[in-house]
Amino acid sequence: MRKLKFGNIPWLIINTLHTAVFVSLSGWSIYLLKVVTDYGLNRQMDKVVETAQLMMLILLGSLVLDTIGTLLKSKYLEASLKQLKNHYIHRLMEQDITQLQKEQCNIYRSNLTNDFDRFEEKFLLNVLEIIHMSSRFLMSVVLVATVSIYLVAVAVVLLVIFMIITSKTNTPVQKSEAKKSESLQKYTDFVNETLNGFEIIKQHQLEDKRFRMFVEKATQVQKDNYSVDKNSTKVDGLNSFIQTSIIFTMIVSGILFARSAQASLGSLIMVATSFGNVIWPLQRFTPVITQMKGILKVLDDFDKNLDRPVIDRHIRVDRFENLTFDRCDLGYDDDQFVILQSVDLTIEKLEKVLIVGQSGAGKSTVLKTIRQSIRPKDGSVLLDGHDIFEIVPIDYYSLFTTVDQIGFIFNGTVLENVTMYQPMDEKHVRDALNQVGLSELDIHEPLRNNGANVSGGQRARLMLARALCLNSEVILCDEIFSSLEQSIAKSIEKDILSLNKTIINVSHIIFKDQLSLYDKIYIVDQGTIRQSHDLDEVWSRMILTEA
Amino acid sequence: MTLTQLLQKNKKQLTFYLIGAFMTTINGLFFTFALSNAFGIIEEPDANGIIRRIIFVLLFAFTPIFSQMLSRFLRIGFMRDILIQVRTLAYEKIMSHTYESYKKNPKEHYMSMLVSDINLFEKDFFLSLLNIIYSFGSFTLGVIILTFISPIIAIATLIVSALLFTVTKLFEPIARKTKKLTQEANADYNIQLTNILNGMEVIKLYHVEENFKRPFESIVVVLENIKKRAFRIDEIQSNLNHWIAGTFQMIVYIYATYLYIQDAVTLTSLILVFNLIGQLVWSMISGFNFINRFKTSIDIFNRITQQQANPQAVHRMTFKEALRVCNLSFAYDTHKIIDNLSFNIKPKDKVLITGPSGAGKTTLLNCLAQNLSSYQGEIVVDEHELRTIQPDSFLKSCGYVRQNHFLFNDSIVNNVILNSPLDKGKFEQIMKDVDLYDWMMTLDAKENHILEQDGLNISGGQRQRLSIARELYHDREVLFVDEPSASLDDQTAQHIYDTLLSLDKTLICVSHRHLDYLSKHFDTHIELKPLGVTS
Repeated sequence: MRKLKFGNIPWLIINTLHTAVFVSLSGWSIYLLKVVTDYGLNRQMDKVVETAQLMMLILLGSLVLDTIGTLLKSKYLEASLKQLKNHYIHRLMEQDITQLQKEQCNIYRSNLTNDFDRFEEKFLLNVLEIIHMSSRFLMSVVLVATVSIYLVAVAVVLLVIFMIITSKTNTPVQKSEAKKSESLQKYTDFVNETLNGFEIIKQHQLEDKRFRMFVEKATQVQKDNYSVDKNSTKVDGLNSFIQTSIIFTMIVSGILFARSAQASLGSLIMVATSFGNVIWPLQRFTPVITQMKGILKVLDDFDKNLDRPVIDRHIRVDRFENLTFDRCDLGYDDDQFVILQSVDLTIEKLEKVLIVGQSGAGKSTVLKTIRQSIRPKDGSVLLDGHDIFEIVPIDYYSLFTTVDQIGFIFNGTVLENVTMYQPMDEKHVRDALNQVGLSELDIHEPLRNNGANVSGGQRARLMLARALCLNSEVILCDEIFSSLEQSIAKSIEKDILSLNKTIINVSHIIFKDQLSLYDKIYIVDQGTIRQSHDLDEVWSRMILTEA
Repeated sequence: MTLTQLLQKNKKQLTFYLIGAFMTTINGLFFTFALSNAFGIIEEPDANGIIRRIIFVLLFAFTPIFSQMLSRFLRIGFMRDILIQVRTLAYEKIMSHTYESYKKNPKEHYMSMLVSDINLFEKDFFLSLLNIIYSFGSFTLGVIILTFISPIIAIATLIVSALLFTVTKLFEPIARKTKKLTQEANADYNIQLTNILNGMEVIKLYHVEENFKRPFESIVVVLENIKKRAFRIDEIQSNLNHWIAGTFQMIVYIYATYLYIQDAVTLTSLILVFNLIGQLVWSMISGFNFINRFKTSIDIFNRITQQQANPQAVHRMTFKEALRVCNLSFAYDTHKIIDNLSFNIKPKDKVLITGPSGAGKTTLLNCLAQNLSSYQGEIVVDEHELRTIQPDSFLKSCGYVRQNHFLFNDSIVNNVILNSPLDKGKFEQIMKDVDLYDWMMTLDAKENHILEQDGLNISGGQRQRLSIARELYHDREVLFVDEPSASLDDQTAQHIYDTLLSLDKTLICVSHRHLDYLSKHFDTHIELKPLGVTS
């Protein structure tokens, strides 16, 4: 992504050209200011009027150019963002399947929204500003050069000194900024703690103590902010002292120079105006560049997120015989904590397996391991005797279809949603829909707004129909009942269990009279998972929903 | 407290601030004087005159620097004091919520009130206040000065300012409309994006990447197109304003040159007019822009500090006879959780509430613990309806162990005793009762071991038991406990239950495990089913 940081280059070039023309025009009008002044001082009224007319024309032209500039600028931004975002999407689509976990979804989304917004504001717009500032600077140099080349040299030297001093004087401000962000962090942590502990604070009437602590933290933040302000006031004062000295030294000496009749007063006005144009942009230059450098980190993060890891897996599989957890300790990669210990679990082809447990017990840990989102901390997970992390990803993933509460429904017809654009016999799709109890649905009906026009139950059934059509061997059901009406959930469970597929259903909601339809039931509890053969035990441990 | 009241409270600092702010208006003028005096040098006939002019120039040029610094020092004290108070007010507002009203918004909502909203207020309020004072102050001063030089130019300046104001007003509705459109497009983009990103794995699995690039790209196109329009409207408005200002400056300059030729003004005045006009017109433009920002910042202030009145409860809590629940119903929006539930509890009763998830166990507990007040029916403690009992007196007699076990970033002992004085013997006994004493003694710092915020460095079971220990230490008459054994193994769970049941208190406990054991040891068993109750 970093290579593309300047966005759409053709539009950038057009914008640069436009800026050059626009700035030249405003340079011309500053030059005419000199001319008009000189005519005025020579009391040539007719020439003044003549020049004034030309100036008006130029001003009118600059309004037109300015408007065109806006159109070009907006075009550049639009084209660049489209290009960058589409590139991002393209790279995302190229990702290896093992990287495309649901957990990553938030990162991608915030990249494609907030981060791109920040990039637009802090980089792309600044690129345009830098071009504008540099052009104005050049224009001013040219204008001053028409008066005297020595003046340019003096001016440039003074400006360089000015820039160097400005960049050095900032240190005390940066130091107090650092202190401020530290106390701001403490403040934020405190607020966060208070909000998390709201109930406990109320419960134990700790409000007064917490209030005093809060005031202390808030005061510290503002005090540190005050010292930032104090320091930057001094620095600003110093800067404007230098700046004023430069400007007035130039102007006064210029005027004395003009008095000895070597330059016209008009030229002086021109020089002064040009300087005004230069000094301000120069002050902005350093902060803008710093900001741009800072935001490039966003692009580096993009690259990191889109980096394709080298996947070195060779074992090919094309069918599912069995999946075995062999004394696995399961937990998250970046955490020492083992959630489930010595997990032993075997799932044979066509078996219907139920995994139950209270929420938070670790059911999803099992599922995430099967889906390769996390690796076991100890022990291994085997598919037909092969370690699942050695199987070619696409082969492995093709065996499973996950049905969950969210589901992926896009703007397309029912047919397209089920087939995912795969060429397929319509009858096959109808059969699948019948099988999951969606026979009433017209397969050419468009689904809009991410499936806002289908109910939760229909959504789950559509996912099932897709799983059926796409012929994966194993269907993983991830808490599909929790947002459904009980009667619907029950009938879906019945439908699933009658399918000629391997079913792994993970749920904390179960139905007593349908427990016997499962081949195996595992209970996740107290940090491990064990098989239970006693349906009553499963039932009583859970205290479950009766139909 | 309204903003006006807040400002009145800080009268002294406010006065300094206003003095500081008005000083800035003079600064700009001084600079203009310096410049025009510099050009005046050319008209001076002799060396004395030149030196006099140069002294003027130096005086006018450097005074603003020092007065600018002084002005800032006068202002920042006020800013500091006001912001401390705004933060405090916002904090007080949040803490004045009841449990019920607090839960209506996610935590992030309150977080942003205390962090980003205040930052926004800080940025907008003071900046716009200063700029409004500066703009309109220097405008007024400038127009007065111009009137002395040329009344015509002064009047023309007023007319152009009115024109600029009109342009800004004309653009306002369309700018607002596109802003709204952009927001909507952004929200839509977000939804569509989330959906497609959720489907990435499926898309990949069936090799249909190409089919999905198009919808992906088309949502980008829609969003960027609307953003482009919004950008254009903003830019065109500001271009137009700048152009009007620039043109006016040119025309006035030419007119002033004409006056100079007619000997109606001096060279010094000519330069003064040129600079002044520029300054005036620009400050008008920015002044108008800042009015809107000022309004927004006041809205923010009101939003983050305005408290709603809490209903006044009058009765003290006493629980000597009975707690009677009569026809209790509770619904979240339209989703009914508890329907027509009635039962009685006597002091020292041990009450067990069970039921499947979603049956309303925690909701019932929250109603009884004065956390939810929007229930139908009655909960009467001795004589009084629960809602009329003063919260602080209620809290002095009731403890509540919640399902989420919050811990402060503080030592173990402080997390247990909180504000109360330490009774070491009692503390240690309680730690033994909840099976944490042995663990605590293995730690280097013992009871002074510091827990991370939210207790991230200890296990769920330890967090749970610390919460229980905290309530036991505070020794309330009535104890509400939600799922005391959720993260515990059987043996520990039994020990905890024994501890709880041995207390000489009223115990109201929710559980869905160990039912056989529990139902034998509790006096009353309330079994909730989704809608309906048996006892």
